[in-house]
Amino acid sequence: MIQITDLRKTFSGQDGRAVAALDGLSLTINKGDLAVLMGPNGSGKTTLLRILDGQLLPDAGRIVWGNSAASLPVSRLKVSVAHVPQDPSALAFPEMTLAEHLLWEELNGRMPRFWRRGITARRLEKYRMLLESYGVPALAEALPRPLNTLSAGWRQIFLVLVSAMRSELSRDRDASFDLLLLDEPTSALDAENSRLCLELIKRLHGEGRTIVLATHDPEVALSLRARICILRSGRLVADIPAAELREDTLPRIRALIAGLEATL
Amino acid sequence: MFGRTKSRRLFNDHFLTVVLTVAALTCSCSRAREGRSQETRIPVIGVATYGAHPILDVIADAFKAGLRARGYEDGKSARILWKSVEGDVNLASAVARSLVESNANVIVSITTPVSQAVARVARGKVPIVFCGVTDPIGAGLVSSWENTPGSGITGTSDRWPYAEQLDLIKAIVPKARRVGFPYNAGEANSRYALEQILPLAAARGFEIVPAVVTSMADVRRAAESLADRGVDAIYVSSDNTVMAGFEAVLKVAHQRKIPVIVGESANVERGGLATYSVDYRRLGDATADLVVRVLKGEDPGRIPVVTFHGEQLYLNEEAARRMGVSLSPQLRAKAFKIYGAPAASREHP
Amino acid sequence: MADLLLAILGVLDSGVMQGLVFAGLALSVVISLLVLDFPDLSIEGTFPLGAAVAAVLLTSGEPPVVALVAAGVAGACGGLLTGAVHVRFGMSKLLSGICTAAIFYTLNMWIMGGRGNLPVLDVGSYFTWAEALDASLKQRWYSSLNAFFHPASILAGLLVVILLKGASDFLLGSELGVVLRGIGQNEVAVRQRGRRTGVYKVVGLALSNAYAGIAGAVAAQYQGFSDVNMGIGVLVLGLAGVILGQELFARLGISLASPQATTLAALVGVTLHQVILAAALRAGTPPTSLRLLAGVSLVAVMALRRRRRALTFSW
Ligand SMILES: Nc1ncnc2c1ncn2[C@@H]1O[C@H](COP(=O)(O)OP(=O)(O)OP(=O)(O)O)[C@@H](O)[C@H]1O
Ligand SMILES: [Mg+2]
Repeated sequence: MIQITDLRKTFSGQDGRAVAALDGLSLTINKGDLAVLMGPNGSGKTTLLRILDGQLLPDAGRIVWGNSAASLPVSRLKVSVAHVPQDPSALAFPEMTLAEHLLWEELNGRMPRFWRRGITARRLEKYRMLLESYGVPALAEALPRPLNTLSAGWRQIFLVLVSAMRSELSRDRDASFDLLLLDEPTSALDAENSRLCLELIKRLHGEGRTIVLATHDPEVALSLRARICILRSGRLVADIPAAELREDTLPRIRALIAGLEATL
Repeated sequence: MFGRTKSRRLFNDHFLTVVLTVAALTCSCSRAREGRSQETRIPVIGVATYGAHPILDVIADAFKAGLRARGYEDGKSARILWKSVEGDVNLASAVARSLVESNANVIVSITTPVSQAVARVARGKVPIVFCGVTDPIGAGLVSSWENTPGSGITGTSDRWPYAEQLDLIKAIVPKARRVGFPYNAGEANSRYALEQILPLAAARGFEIVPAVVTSMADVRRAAESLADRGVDAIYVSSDNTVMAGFEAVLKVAHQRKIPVIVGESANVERGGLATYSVDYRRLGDATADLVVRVLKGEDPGRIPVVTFHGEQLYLNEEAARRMGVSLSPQLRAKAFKIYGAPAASREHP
Repeated sequence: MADLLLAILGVLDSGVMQGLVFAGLALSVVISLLVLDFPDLSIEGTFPLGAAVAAVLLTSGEPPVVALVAAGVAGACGGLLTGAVHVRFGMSKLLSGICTAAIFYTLNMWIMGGRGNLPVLDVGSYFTWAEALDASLKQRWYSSLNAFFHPASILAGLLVVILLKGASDFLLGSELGVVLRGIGQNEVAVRQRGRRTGVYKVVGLALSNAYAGIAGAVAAQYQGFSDVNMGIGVLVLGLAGVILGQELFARLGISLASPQATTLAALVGVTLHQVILAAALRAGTPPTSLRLLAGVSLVAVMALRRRRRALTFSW
């Protein structure tokens, strides 16, 4: 369980004005949850994910991981957090092959050895089988290709997958919390790949992974049948459990995001 | 490897490249062939030089004039293959090889590193005459100034008349005690010069105050630091770096009224106060003499390395005025040449 | 016609030999610039450092192999310095390289006993036996021809280059190599994965400068001297080879997608560059036109075909 209370983060924007990206946000995410963050541009979704990832430190507030009342930063905790950022190329190596990206996950948390070959036939075979087991033989085919030769959509799917496979690849299997953070994973994808990506997310969720996902597309939330958390100006304005989702909740979600809730 | 069609496409694509490369090589090499066909009649003199430099240019001109005077005119009675490494010592080996392969009958190498590279490549194949190497023994070119028969190498050294130059400081500034010596410790010639000067200076009661420069940009700072340390005179030796920034030394000398004694005549002309100079024209001429002797069949190993002793006194009147020193009539009478005199007399009729 | 053939062979022989001598520099630039994305100026100090160390050891009677290894170790120390200054004190990449080059300018003189130049003329060098072999080959097979070829020396040079290339290919293909390349491509991403980049940069720079040092030792033995000023321009020399090789491979449609291909391209490039220089030297009519001629011929080689695909610095 991740318990977030009264989280605050202020940036100094242009002309020195303070911008409150998170303004007293409180939220609880349970193990095995699939939570979808929604909200207009600038409502603080990315900021929240980056704080959960440990990239950013909040100005105020508490985050309690599981039952250890530990404080930040996350990197000190025995928590495995995988983050696919809004701009995934920021965390990728454009000219490295897909296989090498998977090797990076394998090297997590240990010294690289100079006397061992990086990409061996055994590893390639292992990666191929892994990717095929996730139902993406196209990516298994592309293992020896540099990442930047993939189309943006496939790149996105691949990076989501890499993050998901992190715990399988790295030796660090006893991580107590397996949290996957996805920032607008489908925004660059066509309908077909979008569907593929959502399938993947459902499947990861089905395997018991805890996932927090930010998106602008209510369809994504509906098709995932996930809990929807709506942010506005850095605050949680609505928290709709998956059980309450029906076709007719869509207009309500739209209104909440647009801030028209009062007129409804 | 490549499939049939692929190799065919590669060939088509690069046909032009191949043709032009071959054409360029043919072109470059047919010149060499031309040289070879003449070689049976006239001797080929290969010259490997360091690049553009005021002193090296003086040497080069005198060398060519010396050859002409001895009956070896470029293009008529001899062929001079002049090649420069253009300041990059890592090209010296390639230059030396190209001279050997152009069938030079003798190779002249100018400056220390170029001479070493030429010696490495050409020794035993072509006789070598080095030129302008201050310390040919330390550079490993010859084992003694007298040379050893069969070494296949000889040359001229620009070892300077340090004793006479130090005496000159005494003659111009009788109470001088501290003498500044700016130099680049990275230059073999300058290290050698310093080693030679220190005992000579001690014998004359001078204290040498060294100031190290590493690039032309340091020269002014070095000169100022010497002035701050209260030197009575500045002595600029055969240092290429200091010479390149020589005007900066002069500027400081004018402001702080410090006489600057230099090592050779070209720098007196540039504004140095005085020197007993190696005459670089004589150096070039002597090199030409050695080349001719070698071409006539003499064993280079039996020719001792040629050194010079400075007999010629050069003075600069204008410099004396700006550095605040007076030149005695005795000194003037001894001078081989006085620069800056006409301009000064026009100013004060 | 026979003369022409001899002249072409002579140019090739000379150019290839020079290319092998400077091959270490090209590999050094591959590691620093292409792998680590670190334009490392310190090789202008570590190249003469290797030369100085080798010259001193050879004149004191050590065998050439010891000289080569020691030069590599000395070069690596130079790289450690650059890396430490950059990582520890946050000095910019260019500036830390400049500092190392400056420091080693003086250190090199100290190493050579306070002199700026040390001959390697009459001591046994790595090339001694090869040169003796070349001389006896000439004696035996073509003593009447007025030409010199150096197959044994070229083989000797090739042996060193094969060892150097093999080592660099192995290291760049290893797990460590993947991390080093990652740092060059996206340092932030490496940090995000919870890995400190500093120590890897230091390791990579040490490796790169070890290659520069070895190249310096080979050059000193081939050229017959070690000179503090021999470092001037070597970064450009190595860089020219690397870029030329990359362009050439891109034009020929050869993939640069593996460490082996990239190092091979660099070696081909540096050799081609030296062959062009040798041809320019052979042709060079006005004595001071060498660089002009070399530059123009490089442009000419490249202009012959429009680029077919974008230049990649990757594998
Ligand atoms: N590094 C930063 N420096 C300054 N301001 C920032 C920074 N990061 C975020 N902000 C500001 O914080 C606010 C929240 O940004 P955030 O990226 O979290 O929004 P978001 O909900 O992800 O928006 P979007 O839907 O456009 O991705 C915005 O006003 C943004 O301008
Ligand atoms: Mg965002």
